[in-house]
Amino acid sequence: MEHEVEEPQGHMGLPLGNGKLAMWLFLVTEIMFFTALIGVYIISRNGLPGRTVLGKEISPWPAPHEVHLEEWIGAFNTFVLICSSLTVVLAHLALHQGNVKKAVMHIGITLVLGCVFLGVKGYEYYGKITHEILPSRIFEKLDGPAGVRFVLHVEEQLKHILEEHYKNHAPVTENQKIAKEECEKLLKDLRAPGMTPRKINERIVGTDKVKPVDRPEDWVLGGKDIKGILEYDPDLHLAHSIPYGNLWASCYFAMTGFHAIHVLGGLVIFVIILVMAALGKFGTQHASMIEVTGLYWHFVDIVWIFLFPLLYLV
Amino acid sequence: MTDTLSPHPATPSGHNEDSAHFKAYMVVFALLCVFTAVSFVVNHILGQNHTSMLIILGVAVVKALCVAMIFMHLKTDWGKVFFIVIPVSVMSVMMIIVLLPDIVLTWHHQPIEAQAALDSQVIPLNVQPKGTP
Repeated sequence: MEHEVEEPQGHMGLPLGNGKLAMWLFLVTEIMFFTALIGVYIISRNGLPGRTVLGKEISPWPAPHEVHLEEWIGAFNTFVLICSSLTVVLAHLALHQGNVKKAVMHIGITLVLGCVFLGVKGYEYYGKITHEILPSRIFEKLDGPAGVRFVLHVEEQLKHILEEHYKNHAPVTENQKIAKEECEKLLKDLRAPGMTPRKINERIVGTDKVKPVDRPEDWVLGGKDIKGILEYDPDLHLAHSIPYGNLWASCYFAMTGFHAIHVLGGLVIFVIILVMAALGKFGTQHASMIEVTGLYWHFVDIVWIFLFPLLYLV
Repeated sequence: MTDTLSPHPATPSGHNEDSAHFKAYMVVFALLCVFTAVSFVVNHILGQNHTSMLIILGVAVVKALCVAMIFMHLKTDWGKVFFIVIPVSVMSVMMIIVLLPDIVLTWHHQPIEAQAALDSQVIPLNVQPKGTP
């Protein structure tokens, strides 16, 4: 009988499971992907020529309220994602402790929270669509042919507001009644001699809110103080100039759209896990699978942690 | 396939380590909620300026680190994945930095007169209803 020599036991490859390694490799590609999108936003925003107005430098980039972004909605969504990150990591812990039922419950809660996030995002997108804050639909230049298109669009909107909107939603507050009167006056003055797109824009947003690049021809420092229709009733769907609005909208929908697709991908995985559990094919042997899924979900959370302040706050 | 939470759950040491993990998760969750509230409040009080931007983005970086280190178990797995994460982190920051000179810094050299000339380009409107001769 031949003497068998025992080969020394050696470790091959990395001290990391294949699934975890693969997920980390995928996540670093996603880091590059989102950095590209966020980088474009940062570069575009900071690449705009600033203006010095009354000694104070202002950026022409649209402020959150100018593009119908509410900070509290973004903060709520951030809180929802943070909760979902907690529940997915608790699911992994529960599975590691052998408590499959608790793990499945946590995965279910994570799924619900993810759906809440997407629902809130959908509500925000609906607001943008109804206010026509969409790439290539925002009026930025009020001169030349673009100015003509702006005036014709505003005319159409004013007719719709006076004939349809106020029929279904009669003005209740004092401000809403004033807004209706101002709409009627503006519609009458729209084609009056001497009326220009810039003056129309001023009557819509108000003298205070007009950006320096959109100042009407008769603007003089401290000359007049017109309160805009949208200051009386911000919910009216009335187009106005938003300088760099199309660039903002492109960045916004690219960043949040791709993020939402990633959230949806994570929800699909959670559904698969819940179906496995329903079929009795989910157990403690899937702890690594939950951990790897959690890595993906936490990455999605980290992306939103950066998107929220960049879009809603700073 | 290796799992980050390695001790067997049935052993006392496994139970203690699991409860330590649970505590860490809850502490990080509380911190994330607090930091989110801080960002929101700072924006509400200070408005949009350089100070609030630095505070808010700094808080965002801390939040991301908390999620990465504790929730993503990077604190224990760093030695196994650093060689993947570090080069990408450097490249992602560099990608933004290399674009700064051509795009962000260039407008500072544009003369004020040129900006004023752009602002003053106004063409009077002469809109005629359809059918008007």
